[in-house]
Amino acid sequence: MLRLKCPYCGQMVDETELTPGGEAHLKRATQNSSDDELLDYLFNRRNPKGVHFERWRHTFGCGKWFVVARCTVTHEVFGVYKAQTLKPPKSVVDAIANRRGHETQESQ
Amino acid sequence: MSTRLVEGGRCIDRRQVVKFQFNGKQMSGFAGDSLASALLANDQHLIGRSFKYHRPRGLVASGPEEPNGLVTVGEGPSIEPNRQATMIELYEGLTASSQNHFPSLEWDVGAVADLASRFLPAGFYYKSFMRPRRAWEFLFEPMIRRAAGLGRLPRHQDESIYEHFYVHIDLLVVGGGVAGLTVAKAAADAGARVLIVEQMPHWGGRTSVDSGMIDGIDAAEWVNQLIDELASHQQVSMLNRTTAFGVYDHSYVLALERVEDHAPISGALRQRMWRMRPKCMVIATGAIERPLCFQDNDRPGVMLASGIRDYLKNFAISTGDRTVVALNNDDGYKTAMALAKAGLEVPVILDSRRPNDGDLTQQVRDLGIKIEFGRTVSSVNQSKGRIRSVRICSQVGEGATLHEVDCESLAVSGGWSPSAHLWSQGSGKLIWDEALSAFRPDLKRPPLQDDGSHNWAFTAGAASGCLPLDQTLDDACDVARAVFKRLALSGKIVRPEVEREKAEPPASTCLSPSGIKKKARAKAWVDFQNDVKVSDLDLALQEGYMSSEHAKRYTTLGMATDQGKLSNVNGLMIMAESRGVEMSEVSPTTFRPPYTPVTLGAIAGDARGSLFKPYRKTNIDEWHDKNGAYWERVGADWRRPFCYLKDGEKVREAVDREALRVRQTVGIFDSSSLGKIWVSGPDAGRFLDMLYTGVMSTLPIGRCRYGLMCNENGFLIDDGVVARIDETSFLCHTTTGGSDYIHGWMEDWLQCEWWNWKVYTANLTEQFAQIVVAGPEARKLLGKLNISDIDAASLPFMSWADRQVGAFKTRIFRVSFSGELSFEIALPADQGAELWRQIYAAGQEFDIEPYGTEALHVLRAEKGFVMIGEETDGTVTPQDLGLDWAVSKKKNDFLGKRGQKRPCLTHSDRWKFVGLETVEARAKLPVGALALGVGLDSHGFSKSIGRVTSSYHSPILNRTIALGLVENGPQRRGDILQFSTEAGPVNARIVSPVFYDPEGTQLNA
Amino acid sequence: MPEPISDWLKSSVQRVEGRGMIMIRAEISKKSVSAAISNSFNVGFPKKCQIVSQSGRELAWMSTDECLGFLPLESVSKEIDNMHQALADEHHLVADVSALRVEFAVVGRVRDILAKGTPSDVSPKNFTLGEFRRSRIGQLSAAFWMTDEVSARILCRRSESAFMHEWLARAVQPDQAVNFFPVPDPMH
Repeated sequence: MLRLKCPYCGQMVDETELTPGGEAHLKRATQNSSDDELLDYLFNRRNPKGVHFERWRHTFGCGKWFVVARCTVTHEVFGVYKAQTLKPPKSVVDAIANRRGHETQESQ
Repeated sequence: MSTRLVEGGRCIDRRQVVKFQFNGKQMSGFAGDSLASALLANDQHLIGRSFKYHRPRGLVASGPEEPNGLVTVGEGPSIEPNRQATMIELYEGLTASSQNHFPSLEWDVGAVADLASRFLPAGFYYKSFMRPRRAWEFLFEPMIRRAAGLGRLPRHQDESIYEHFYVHIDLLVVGGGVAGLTVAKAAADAGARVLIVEQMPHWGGRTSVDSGMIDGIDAAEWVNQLIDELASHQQVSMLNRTTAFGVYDHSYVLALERVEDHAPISGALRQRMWRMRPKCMVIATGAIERPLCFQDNDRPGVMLASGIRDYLKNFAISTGDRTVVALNNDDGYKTAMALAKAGLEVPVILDSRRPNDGDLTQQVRDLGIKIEFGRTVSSVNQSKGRIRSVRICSQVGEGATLHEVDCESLAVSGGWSPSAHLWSQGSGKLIWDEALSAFRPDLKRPPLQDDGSHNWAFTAGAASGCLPLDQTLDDACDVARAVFKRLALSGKIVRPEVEREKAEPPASTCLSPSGIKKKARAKAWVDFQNDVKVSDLDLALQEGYMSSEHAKRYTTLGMATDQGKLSNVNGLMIMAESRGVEMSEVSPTTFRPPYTPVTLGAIAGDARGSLFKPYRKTNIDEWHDKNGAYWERVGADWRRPFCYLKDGEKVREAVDREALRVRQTVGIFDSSSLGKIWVSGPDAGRFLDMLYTGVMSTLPIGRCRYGLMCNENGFLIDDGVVARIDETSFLCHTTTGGSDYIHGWMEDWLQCEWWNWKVYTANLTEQFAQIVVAGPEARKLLGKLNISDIDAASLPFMSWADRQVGAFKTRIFRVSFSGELSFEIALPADQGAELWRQIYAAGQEFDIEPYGTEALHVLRAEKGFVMIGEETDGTVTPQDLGLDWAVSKKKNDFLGKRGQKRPCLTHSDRWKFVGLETVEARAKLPVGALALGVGLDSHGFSKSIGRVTSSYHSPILNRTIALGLVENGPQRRGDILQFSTEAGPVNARIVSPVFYDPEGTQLNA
Repeated sequence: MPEPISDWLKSSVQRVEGRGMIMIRAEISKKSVSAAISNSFNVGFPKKCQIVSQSGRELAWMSTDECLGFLPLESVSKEIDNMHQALADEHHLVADVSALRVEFAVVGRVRDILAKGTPSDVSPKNFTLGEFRRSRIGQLSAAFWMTDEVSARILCRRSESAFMHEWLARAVQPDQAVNFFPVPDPMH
């Protein structure tokens, strides 16, 4: 069971205090998007065997959404950061590069 | 014959006699006995019948590794099957019985399976039960069901109480033996908060039984002193009877404390599940002894050497006057010495290794015990179910009998396996240690922690593979140093004085003898509980199951409730030998939690009965309850009155009565559970324009507007009325089930997409009670309460106003879901009940009735109003429901707009909203019934062209009505469709969904 | 007020009635905003995950842009007006939430009782007086804080208060005491 540090209230939080929110950094399909772009946004998700960026909400707590960079195989966590960003912060990208090297490209 | 010796037994209290029953026989034991030791004291040599072949079985071990001793505890409907006799602490009045036999343990019909064993090898069921196929229903399946499993199921629910407890500690030590206690003491002295868990009721592990010398005193005594110091240590909590059974992600460890299992009192707490997050964990769980594989090694009386000496030392049990000891490692000698010192006879020790002059060998010789090297047991002679003698052969040969020795019990020791389950569960890896002849933790690949580090979990003592006492203590000190580093502690680690033991390496085979022949292999057991023999492993290899994982699944080796504790390694050794590979090439089992079975009640904890799932009540709940509310669960958690039952009414009668009353005079309804979300800020209007299909930013202050919300797929997810409170504030109502969901939905978009917009939301659902007064007399009724200005001009339909109602400050919304003149009055939730009472009292002269959710649903259906969750199911768009008017054509963007443009959502064949009138007025269409189309589809099935989404009896129309979605429905008014129902086909005409008051005259009064 | 405990080790739970509560949402990380709130409310501003008490009022940190004020029920509407004034130049939300939640007072082995239901760390090292935790207790969303070493307050939604009361009543049973956390000796 995951245990993560909420980047807003600073509390160590159990998975059972959180609500999952699927893949992070999805780009909303606008009114001009093609049908394929829309379907991609609605249904296609990455499914990496490795580092994955996912959203969690601290529902039983401060109520804020954050993003976690987690390895889907070992549950190793590379960083937890606030959701108000279009892409992972440099510190998290660096952490992944330091520990996993070759995976960085794929996870972007 | 097993008996109780007159002296000894460190765990029992001879002053307290405890009476119990086994298989209906009255027996007695002492306080401190396990059921197993008490049974041995009463010479109960048979404990059950084996799973497949129904062979008579006795106890083999003394702890949770016991494979045979599964009993059923209790009688009647509240029995508990499959409990290990070794883990049940004896208590007064305990009733237990053996399993898997008929009619009795001693005389079992199922024993024919043993005679037919040639035809029932591993996997026989893959090759049988094929034909005739029809026999499955009346023969094969009932037969298999009866044969499957070991115990019987209870018929009553488990009445025990369980709870959970969460802890965060610096150090968790699993195992209360000398290694664990040493590390715990060092860490606690250095200031760490320590929790020690021990699965048995007694502390000390093997050292308290096997003893030795530590710091110049008796090891068992040394351990007792350590236990006393820890018990009174401020930094330490000690839990006995507690098994740490699982290690999960992010250093989450679960343990089960058996609080009252040993003295069950009805209504008292029985077990507690500890949910732990230790910063550091030391696994000091010891090691488990392995048996030897020879012909008839499963006979009652053949026991693990450590088990025999546990029973001797802990419970003063003699398993027989004469015990032969067969071993391939030094540890078994301790059993011979303990037996001899207790005055019992050890006719011979069979050491399958070459002759040696080790310390232990000399000690044994000094006691006058004969040792035969290079020898082992080839088989056991028995009569009347008891061992009479053993046949002895050369270890290297094929099993020719060299001579026989009479005895009553046989102690076997085939080696020791470090109990590294928790290490493996935490993703630590195991490695084959040639010198140890066992898998032990691979220190180069320890459990990983979530931050990528891997120094949070350690093994200590025998669990690391350090079996002799001096090595155990060395290892404990090393681990203590590692723990200090991990927790940034500083302090002294004192290494106790222990003599170096010189141990001879164990032999690395479990087959007795090495060249055991085919016939004997078919009677040499590897897994006792699942009845897997050496010949079964041979068969698996013969059939091509090369990998150990395949062979294990094929034979079911290690898959019983004991999870292969005595059989895994032996099985792997046999398979490796047969395949001609080295053990270092064999991958060991992946251990998965739980280590031992966990009762489901403990997992549920307090979430049982009335606390199973949270129920949410409005503030008026008590009044509803006192007035005949017939409850239903809404939106997962709320309880709301479905209807109110009066004077022996049936539900249908109550619903009719209530709905009629609302149309005729006035009704009162509790809508407090509906969502009320406050949305405010300079960008509030812009935000709501994105969330709703319609335009909310233009809503004038003081007015209300019906709104629909869709997801990005374009499908409806909620609906409700939005009220404009002031320039920058809106109050959005949602369905009951949607209150938390829509609030979360709003926050998701505000936090993760439009985080620069200035909007704050507040979920005020619970701040307000909301009371609906609806019906032609509603205004007159409220007039009696001196509410000013609620006439049609001052408070028109779809508007709101703040009004004083007597002492209460309220906000009144003129909205209607029933289609009648309707006022929704909102006020602080703690005042709701009082206002309800006042309105109800004032309404008596108008024959006011409370109405429940079902009456409301009937009323809205009569008006053709859609309901989220009835007309919608996650695949329905506003356009499907004819709600195009609520979808703005002007807005550039809103959630779902793009989704709704997809061809699949705009094509003309979509099922659209209609009313349905059964041709026969009394016939009722079931919700979900499908309308049949003409002809067959490409698969040869009937086509369905519509479904029923809502169906009720309408009291005011005195007939049934239904709403549904039909292909091209609105264009097909008047058509008659045939609906398929369980009672047969039902015909219905497509009509307007507005069955009553199509002009809306009541609404706009 | 909770009943006085006759047996020092006995734990008890009681509903607290009649406190007013207001929700304030604003950019509280800005000094000017937190100062304005504090001045209006007359209570020092809490740090992250803290609660501050002063002359019968309390201010608790709920989230990065939300705090909860406790005050006498009769002062609520005046305080809401004052707060609107104080935050007039800021984007803010102020709402009366006095009826939204229910407060419970638990006395006795409060850390043990909390630990039966929350995965949050309630050990003396990490959960001290002045700390305000939002987590769950059992299956319910809850907030809790200690008022002294043997007393705690628990906040939950009004609709779930009956369920919470039943859960707490079970948890304070003496024969289900865990005795894991130390309790101060009353004689010292």
